[in-house]
Amino acid sequence: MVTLVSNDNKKFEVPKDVAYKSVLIKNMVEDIGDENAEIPLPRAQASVLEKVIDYCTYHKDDPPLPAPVQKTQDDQPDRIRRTTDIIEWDYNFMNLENPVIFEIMLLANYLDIVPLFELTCKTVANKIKGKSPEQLREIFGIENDFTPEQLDEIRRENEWAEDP
Amino acid sequence: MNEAQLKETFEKGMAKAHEHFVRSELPLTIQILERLENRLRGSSAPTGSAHARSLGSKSRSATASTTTTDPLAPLLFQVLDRRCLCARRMKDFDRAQKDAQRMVTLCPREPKGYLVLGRVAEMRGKPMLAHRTYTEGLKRCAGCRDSSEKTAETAYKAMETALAAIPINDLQQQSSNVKRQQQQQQQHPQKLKSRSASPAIGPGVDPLSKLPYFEVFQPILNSLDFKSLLACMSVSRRWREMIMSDDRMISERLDLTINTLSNGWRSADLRWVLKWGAGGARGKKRVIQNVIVDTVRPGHEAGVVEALFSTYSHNIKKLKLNLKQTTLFDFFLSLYGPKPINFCTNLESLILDAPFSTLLLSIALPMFTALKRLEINFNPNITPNYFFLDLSKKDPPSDTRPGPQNLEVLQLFNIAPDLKWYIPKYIRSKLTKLKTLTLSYSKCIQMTDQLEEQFTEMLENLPDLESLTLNAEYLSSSPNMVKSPRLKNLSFYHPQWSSAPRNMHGPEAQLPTKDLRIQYGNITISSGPEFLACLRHLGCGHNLTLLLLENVRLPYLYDEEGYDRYVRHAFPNLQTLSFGGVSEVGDETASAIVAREPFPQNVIVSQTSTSYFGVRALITAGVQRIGIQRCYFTMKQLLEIKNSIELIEFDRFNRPLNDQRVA
Repeated sequence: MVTLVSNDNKKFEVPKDVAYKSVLIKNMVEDIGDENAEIPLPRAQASVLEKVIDYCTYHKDDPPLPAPVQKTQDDQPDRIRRTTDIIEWDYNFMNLENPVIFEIMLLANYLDIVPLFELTCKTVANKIKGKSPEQLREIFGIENDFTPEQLDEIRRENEWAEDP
Repeated sequence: MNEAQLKETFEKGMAKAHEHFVRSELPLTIQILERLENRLRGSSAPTGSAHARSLGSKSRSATASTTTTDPLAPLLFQVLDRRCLCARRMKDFDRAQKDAQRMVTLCPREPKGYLVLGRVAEMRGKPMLAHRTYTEGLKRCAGCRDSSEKTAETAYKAMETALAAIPINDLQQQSSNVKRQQQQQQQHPQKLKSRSASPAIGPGVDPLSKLPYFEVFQPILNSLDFKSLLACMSVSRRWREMIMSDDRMISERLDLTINTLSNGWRSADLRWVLKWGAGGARGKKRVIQNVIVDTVRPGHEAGVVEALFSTYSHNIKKLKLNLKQTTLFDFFLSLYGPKPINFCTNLESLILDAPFSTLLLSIALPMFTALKRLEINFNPNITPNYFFLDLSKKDPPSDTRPGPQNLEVLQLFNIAPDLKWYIPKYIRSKLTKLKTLTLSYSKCIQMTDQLEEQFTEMLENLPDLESLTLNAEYLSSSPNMVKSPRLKNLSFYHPQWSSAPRNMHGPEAQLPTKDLRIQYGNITISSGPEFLACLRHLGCGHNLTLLLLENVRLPYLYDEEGYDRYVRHAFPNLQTLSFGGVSEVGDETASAIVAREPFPQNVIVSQTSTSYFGVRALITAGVQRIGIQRCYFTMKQLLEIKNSIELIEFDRFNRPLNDQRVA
């Protein structure tokens, strides 16, 4: 069992294989060398950490991700990743308010839980896809702070995209 | 892994990382360092947790010495240090902080760790935190002040300086900020819930852009298609700045395959991306490697062409363009005039499948100064021919502009026959560096003596030519055809040969031609010796390794005696032989081919009357690969053949683009 301590001093007892989903925790436990030590996570808020532990518990038996392949120059660009391959449990798990998703994303990144981080990225990307700038501002609560001149320039730039 | 090996791994990894670091390829450097860390950690696995534990307890209980005696810790420390530096350069402070924190945990008596951690805090705009870190570092590493170790001492002194440099005002301001925030939180306790793991995120105002760009925002953007990215750039100033300052975000999308029918590409997007590539807004040039315009929606061709051949096009390197209408023709025609035109200056490869006039080449080609490869399929059925009016004269209008100096590959398909005069002249005078030349006229052209003179002269002016493909009547009178010492590959499509050359100077055995392909020929040479003379005339002798006769009727080659005399003896080094597409080839031919040594290793008898027994003979004799497409077998036979020998797919032999159209 590994004990994780959130920034509001809540303690979470987590089985080792679940906690080791996080590369950071794994490294820290190995650094300390004591598997029963308390791991302080000053950037993790209890409610978010709980979510992340939920995820790790469900996915604890997943095979480790294949190592990223070094891309050579000749490779076809495969930058635009697929965002549709989300399993149902993950999809339901991600059915959250935007701020919570961002928090999970940050924490997943901090704790180095790659699959969870990718899941959050995909979820947010799916929210962005196919939306107009106006819709995006609404979804993410962003103020339109362009000056009229800049707006004009952008409109001119995007004008081409408006053809039938 | 022992200490020495560990050290070696470490040094190699660091050197590699440094190499990328100086080229400021920061993300790559970080990746390398990450892998190095894993390797170092992995390498100590055999000693396992005991080792890790000793490391841990040491770092906590170490008293006297500043460095632990463990070989791994200082190495890891340096790796983390480098990685933290990269992260700071990338302004990726979350990651930097993570690494710095780990440096401190790893070697709590090394002042460098605190220094780095403090720096990161300062860069994040948290002088208070930096102040605390420095103070703690100075306290913990007090022994380093006059340390004999230079690095530790420097780090310690740097920390002192840094601490002194933090302005007190900032601290007060920050602490008052904190107080205010605390008050606010007390006033709005419900907001506390949505407070994030990072204090950087406040509720309400644009949470996404407050996220660390490289760690969070960029991965999201990477999952977006171009149109969505475009929309993101129009959301707010902050978003726009972030995306535009990330060079890779756009530039990696500049490898374009454009199909305006299906995946949402429009001519407008193309122009936009090209403009982007030209660095319109920010003055930075980005190279567009590869543009493929596949299918264009009717009515959009003009837009696509105008976008491609505009002032934005200087950084396209390869372009493949497939057009159905005469847009390109009209476009270049409109450019014809005294005014010099300057675009696509970096274009290296141009592949066109479009209605286009050959004569317009003289207008278009000088523009593409860097061109190395040019392929055009002229598609004569819809090429407007009103521009050919005065071509009945032998001399086309003179043209003083130079062609592309470095053109090495020229492949022209479906050339209008009326340009037979013009083409060899143009090549001879402007394109003398050619290595590969394909001239395929829309009809097989008849060689007159004068025309043949033109061709001979052209070939004499191409000293580097290695590969020649023609669909023209046999150059019957000139013995100089294969004069270029490098000419190795010869292909003829639709040749009409009726007799051996008139003045033959029997060339000797060691000749350059290695590869001879004749397809769809109407060859009426009546006897074996005469045919052999023809091949000899083309330079075929002991050097010939590939002989491909597809759809060529030469009955005297297909029986045992004929094969022996005209193929086996004449070309003893043949590796690949194809007698495809004629019904006269059958089991007897197959047996003849392998009746005696030497026989070729690859035999193709596609679309012939060869049956299972002929194929069996080939296999038994020990041929390595066979081509048997469109021969007739039962399923059982085919299965057996497939299990016993490797099959050659017909398409491995490049067939001309215009086969169907001409045939």
